[in-house]
Amino acid sequence: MSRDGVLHQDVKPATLGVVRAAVFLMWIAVVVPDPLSFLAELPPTMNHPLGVFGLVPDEAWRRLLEPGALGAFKAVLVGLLVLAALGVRPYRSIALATALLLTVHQALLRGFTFDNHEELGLLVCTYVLVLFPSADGFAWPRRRAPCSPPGLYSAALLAMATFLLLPYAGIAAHRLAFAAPDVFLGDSLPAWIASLHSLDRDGSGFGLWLLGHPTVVPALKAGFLVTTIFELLAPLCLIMPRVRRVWIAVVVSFHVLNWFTLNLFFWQNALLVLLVVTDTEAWVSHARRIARWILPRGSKGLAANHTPLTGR
Amino acid sequence: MLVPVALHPAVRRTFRGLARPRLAALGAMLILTLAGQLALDARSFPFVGWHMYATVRHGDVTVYEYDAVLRSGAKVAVVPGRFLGPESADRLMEALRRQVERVRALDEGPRAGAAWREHEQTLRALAGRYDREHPEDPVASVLVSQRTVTIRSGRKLPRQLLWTVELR
Repeated sequence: MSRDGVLHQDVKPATLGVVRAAVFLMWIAVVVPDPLSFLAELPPTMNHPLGVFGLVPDEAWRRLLEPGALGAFKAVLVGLLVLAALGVRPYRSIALATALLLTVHQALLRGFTFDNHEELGLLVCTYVLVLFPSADGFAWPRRRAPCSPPGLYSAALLAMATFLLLPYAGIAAHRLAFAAPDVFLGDSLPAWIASLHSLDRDGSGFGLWLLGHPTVVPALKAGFLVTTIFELLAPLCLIMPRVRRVWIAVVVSFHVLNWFTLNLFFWQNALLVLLVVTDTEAWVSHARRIARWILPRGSKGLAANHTPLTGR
Repeated sequence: MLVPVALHPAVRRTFRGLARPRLAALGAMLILTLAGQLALDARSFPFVGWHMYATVRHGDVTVYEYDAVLRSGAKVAVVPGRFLGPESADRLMEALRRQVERVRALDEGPRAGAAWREHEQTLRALAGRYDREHPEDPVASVLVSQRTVTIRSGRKLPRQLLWTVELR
């Protein structure tokens, strides 16, 4: 429950543990299907390291960009992700190593192509999970009692929500400052729909179909403006429950609609919004009650990991 | 938007109770987030600028398509999403688009040669992924075409072949 309408004011260790497991499972879903060794088949001249990775010597890149090295890198990363999702001890060291490898992984993928945002919200939330005792609950092996002050778990989820919401406001502020009103009134949205359909020739083609119905296009443009306004309001979700409820509905719908119209699905962001911009404590408590009802008594599984709430 | 959140007593109370190292780490992340958005962009990766859908566009658009001609003579679309994760496939399509535009812009000279080789190797790598799954009928060449898409109707005009990359 939240005091003063502020998000995440009474978070239990198990709730943060559920979020930890979900975040690292999402990473597994990102990393496992993508053949990292493909980078070794691309021309090395495509690699333009980003940020501090520009300081890494060329020789180090050459050694890493061998199929065997990339395969080993991915195997270690997936192993660490599984351990971090389970909350295995020593959690802090495992989570830190996982976050470092994920950063290298994401920088590599972008260095070869271009710097987009698809997994970056998830990456920053992962950093927050490293900083906090995120494996005090919902972890294997089971912890007897958390030794951290209870407010830490609330701070962790509040920090994750903050870092997830801030970029939405940044996007909207930039768009309104540098491109309004032309970007909403002119051809920009139809042009993006027309060009982004080519990202995936197996895609639905729904965006192009919509362009063929001129009466729908003004509604899409109006939706674009409304979404931008909601993006600008994003930080208010932290302190205003009514804004939060409408915001979640608008922004999750926006992400799903983008999937069909622009062939772009920021599913990590959509899931993170549902995970940490909602009353996580309430729905995790509901889920645990259901799990207790379904699972037999005395089950030692993760769902039955009832961590006591009073620290020692 | 940030001021009412930053000044809210419950938010301040939640973060005030944190130990200094943790608070310093969160503060550094916050500074990097704002610096990435306002000035540093990709230089502060992974805290980068978020500037999506903020460029005004006009008129119909040109898209590029890649089709593989197989050794049997059959033609299939080259779709990175069939071999890579969806995020990597999106990024590779954008990288290919930039390669095509660079090759077309440079036209001649040594830099054009380097841009062409990079483009050719990228398509070769993609074709290699196709061949792994279809060794019985591998890729012989890749056709790179452009199409205009009319934004008033969503109609795609016929393909115009730009060039063929022979892989045999």
